[in-house]
Amino acid sequence: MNWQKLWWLVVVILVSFPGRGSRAQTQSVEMVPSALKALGAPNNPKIEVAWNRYYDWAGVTALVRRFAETFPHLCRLEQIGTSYEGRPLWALTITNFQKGKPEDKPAMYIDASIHANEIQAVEVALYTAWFLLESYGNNPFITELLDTRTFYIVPGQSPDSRDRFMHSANNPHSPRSGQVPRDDDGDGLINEDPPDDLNGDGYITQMRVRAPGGRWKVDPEDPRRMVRARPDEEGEYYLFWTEGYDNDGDGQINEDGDGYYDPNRNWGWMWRPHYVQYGADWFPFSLPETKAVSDFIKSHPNILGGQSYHNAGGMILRGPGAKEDRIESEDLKLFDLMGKFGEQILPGYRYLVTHRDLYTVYGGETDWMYGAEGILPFVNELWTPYNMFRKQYPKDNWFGAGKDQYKFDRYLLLGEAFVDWQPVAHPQYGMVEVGGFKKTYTRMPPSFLLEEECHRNMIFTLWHAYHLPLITLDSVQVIPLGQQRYRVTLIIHNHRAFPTRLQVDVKNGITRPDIVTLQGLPVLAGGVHQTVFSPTFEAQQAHPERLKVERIPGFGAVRVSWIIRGTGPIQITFDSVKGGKYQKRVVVR
Amino acid sequence: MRKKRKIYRWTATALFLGYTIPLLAQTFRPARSEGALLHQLATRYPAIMRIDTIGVTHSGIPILAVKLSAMPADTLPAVLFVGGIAPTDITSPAVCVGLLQRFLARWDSVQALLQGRAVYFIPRLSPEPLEGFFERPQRAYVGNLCPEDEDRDGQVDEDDVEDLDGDGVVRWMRIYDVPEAEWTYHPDDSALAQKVDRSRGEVGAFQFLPEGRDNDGDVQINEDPRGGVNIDRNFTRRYQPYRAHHGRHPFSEPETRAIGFFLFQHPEILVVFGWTPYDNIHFPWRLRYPENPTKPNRFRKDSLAYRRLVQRLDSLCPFVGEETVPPGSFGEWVFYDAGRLSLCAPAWAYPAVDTMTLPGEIEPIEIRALRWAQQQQDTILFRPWRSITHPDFPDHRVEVGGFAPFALWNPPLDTLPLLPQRWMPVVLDLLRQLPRLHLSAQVKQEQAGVYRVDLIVRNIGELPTHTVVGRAVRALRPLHVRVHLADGQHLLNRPEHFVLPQPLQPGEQQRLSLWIVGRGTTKITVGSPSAGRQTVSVRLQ
Ligand SMILES: [Zn+2]
Repeated sequence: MNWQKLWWLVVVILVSFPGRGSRAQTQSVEMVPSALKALGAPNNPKIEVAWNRYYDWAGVTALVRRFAETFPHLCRLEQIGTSYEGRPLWALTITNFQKGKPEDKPAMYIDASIHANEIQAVEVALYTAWFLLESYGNNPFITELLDTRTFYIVPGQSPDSRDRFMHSANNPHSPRSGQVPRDDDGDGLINEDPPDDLNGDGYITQMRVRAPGGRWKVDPEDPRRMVRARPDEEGEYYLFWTEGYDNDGDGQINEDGDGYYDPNRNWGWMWRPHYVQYGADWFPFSLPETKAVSDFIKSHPNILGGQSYHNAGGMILRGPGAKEDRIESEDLKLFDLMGKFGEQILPGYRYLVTHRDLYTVYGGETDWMYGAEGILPFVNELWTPYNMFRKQYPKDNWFGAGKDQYKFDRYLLLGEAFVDWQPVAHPQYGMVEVGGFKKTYTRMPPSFLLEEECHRNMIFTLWHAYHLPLITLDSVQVIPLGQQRYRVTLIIHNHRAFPTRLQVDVKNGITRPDIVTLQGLPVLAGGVHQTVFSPTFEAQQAHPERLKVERIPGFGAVRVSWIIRGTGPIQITFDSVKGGKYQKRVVVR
Repeated sequence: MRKKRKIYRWTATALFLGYTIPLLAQTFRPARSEGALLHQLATRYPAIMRIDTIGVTHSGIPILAVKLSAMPADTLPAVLFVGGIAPTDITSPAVCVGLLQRFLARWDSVQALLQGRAVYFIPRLSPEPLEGFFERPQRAYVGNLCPEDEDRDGQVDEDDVEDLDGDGVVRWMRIYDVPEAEWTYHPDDSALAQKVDRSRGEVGAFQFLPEGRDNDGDVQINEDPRGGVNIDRNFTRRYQPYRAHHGRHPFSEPETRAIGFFLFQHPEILVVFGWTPYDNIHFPWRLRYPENPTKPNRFRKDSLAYRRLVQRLDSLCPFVGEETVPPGSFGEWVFYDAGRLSLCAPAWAYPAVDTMTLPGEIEPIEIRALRWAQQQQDTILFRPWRSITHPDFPDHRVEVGGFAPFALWNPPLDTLPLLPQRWMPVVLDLLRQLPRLHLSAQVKQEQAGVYRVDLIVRNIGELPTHTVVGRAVRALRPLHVRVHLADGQHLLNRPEHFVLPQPLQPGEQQRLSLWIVGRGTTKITVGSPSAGRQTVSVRLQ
């Protein structure tokens, strides 16, 4: 062993034991250092994380703690609430704290997995945090991003059910809800008939019963697969979509599982009751998790860009969720700009409209972000079946053709995704067979596709963040008017595609206008010019030292002027709720 | 004024002597003293009265719910009365307290009614704006004390109202000869104002504003007063975003959340009576879903139950309110989104004058109130207009006067003690109408050891056992049947417990046949929180 190798070993050992008893996820003394950086991921990062597997809430908690401990100048961790079962809800604030306060920069908000079974959303959010932190100072693009904007990352919205998904028996679709108890069938009992893991393998798969009158049969091409008997032939089996029995003796199977509500129908925008919007729950923000997350967003009004990760189907969704809602025309151009860009960098993903291409959603999170908070949000439905054989399916086929799922499993996963049919004694049906796809299949990428999914989706949000306003205060001119009076003119220039306020915001007064302040000398008059070329301005009636500017358009500029008296230093401040805060000092002489 | 002082003195004496509190006089109270009184009552009557804090306002005032029942620990069919919903209604909290006192004072006569039932009171759902009544100067609030930047200038609550003429009350202001003037004298009475139609070239005589000055030097007066969200605009049904005082989104406020959690955690409450400016008793609503009239109405049965209710209450409810219901209201939310029979009417209103003579421009209530004030020569209720020197308009004629902040919606103090007895019949009637179950069972031996039990479940109350909408929002529960079999008995044709999804309407019955094998005593329990629970036993031998 030469000295160089020994040195690396020491580094690896140090990195591997960050102390404080945090649960190690990936470390081992044998971690061999990288000799040649593969393009993309940070090389020999301070925090080694394996992005080809999934983390439970203890794992997520260990990782976000490590992010904040390792990069204190770039990352802060705060607990924004507590889940129903008492797990901490986390938010990461990521920006260069040495260059301006986080709340004084335009912000990109990212969250994940409001539907708990949509597992990999959390890994995408974590990867984004990790990549930003590890790349600051190494990659000029990331460095500029963290110098000029803030990322707020809520790495998971439903920790109780995430742990439930991982540590108890489930199928790919359960649990979508959180764990707040709700009596679905109104008999006064809570969750008294959930699915049951009859063979005790940790998966809720399917159940088939060979009995007279069954209309299903075994697929001759793949004996693992069940297909419907043709209309002109007799079937062999009954097929039940979930494994289980009648726990409560009411004659129904699995009719009251985890209290059903949909946390993504529980937000305070076009909320509708349960008989209009299934799963709406009691009233907007009646759940501890949606309340905590919405309070976090409300208390960070500098958020202008938004991203919420779900699965599945490979979609880049924009609102509105309901056809009676609307997106303002100028904002639509921004959605289109980013959505079409997303289609290029996310192969197999389609840029779609929720209510038109998916289904109607009332009380959805991102519709609330847009309508109530003036944020431009996307929902990405992760994992596209396109990734199986690089083949596109119709847009409403979110999981790919059944045949291809079996093929992909057989050839690329070597059969690992399937639990083979096995006989089990059923308390009500006698002998049945249990088998089918594991919960980790059809909605989540396998290991070798997860890192790609993380990276490509993160890139989408980085460019979203890139296009948030970047303001410079240009061309300050001081023109003497005689008798100690001066005219100070300034151009406020936005170098990016997003305006400082969306049209929905300006139209409805969600936030206040941007404010340009001149301090240091008495201001006699002031106002905003109609264009950057117009020599005259409309004088503001009161408080000319504090000019209200409706907004700075994307790639646009606004010219303002003041008439001041006297000489000396002055300070000009541009203060936009969502566009950031910028200052300039000038000496009038 | 002498009368008022007398009442206060009387109250103090009663407290001092420890007389039974139910005899306490009626008066308007700030939230804290009302809360103290309620807690005192609850301590005195622990066997029949319970008190719960269901929420806390921005400024820390607890929102209280009181329950009265002969069996307060049990879940029994219940009616809820809610006061203090509108930011100007100081009367309904006092009526609530008065009703409570009457119940306690006459417990012997109401005890039987509250044997298997309960009545809840939330005297003030939104306490904060009502505190303005007790502040000096007395002033109105538009809503609770949630800070709101009404004029979107980045500063919050920076231009509040003032009492310019020092009469101890923040009233109204007329500023003459300003370009933005859009008001003029009302043709019927120059003490009142009406808006001109500037689009038709009409010219205003004055600008009409709450009393105050431009505190922040932005050439606008009182454009960002202290507060707040009007709770009666913050509910989900027909919520309108982006409006001042409606809240950042529906259910943004602690008051809305408090009643939301309370109702969904109390499935025994079938009827909610809210004291509101709008009135769905004298102006009945059409309850339906879907709204499209060509589609069958899913809530038809609820609508019929509600219609029967308001027909009875039409003559019992003493005061008539407004027909128009605001967006995001409490009353509509109660039915459509919380699933209960919702009744709304004001706790008090001015007696009507001849409304035929009124032009449409003015709210009739202002005419009524003005006539009342003129009759009583009450210059506190309505203060005649007087010129003042306004610091922001030294060169303009400015007058201060008009109605006191709470004058339009609340009675003079000496009328207040009469109100609880006028509302008592409504409370008693609603309690009497709650659903009640009656079970009967007939046994037939079909074969040796095989029995058929014919169970008849009958609703002998005057309201349905639950509402269809209440099930649709999953707030109310259907009737639940549980068969307790003796050892060795088997139930053949049903599981041992099941629900009856449809509500039983008044007088309606449902027949169930249970096939049981084996001898012994079978107990059958049927019930739900909103309908109560009954048990019948049958001996199979
Ligand atoms: Zn989802």
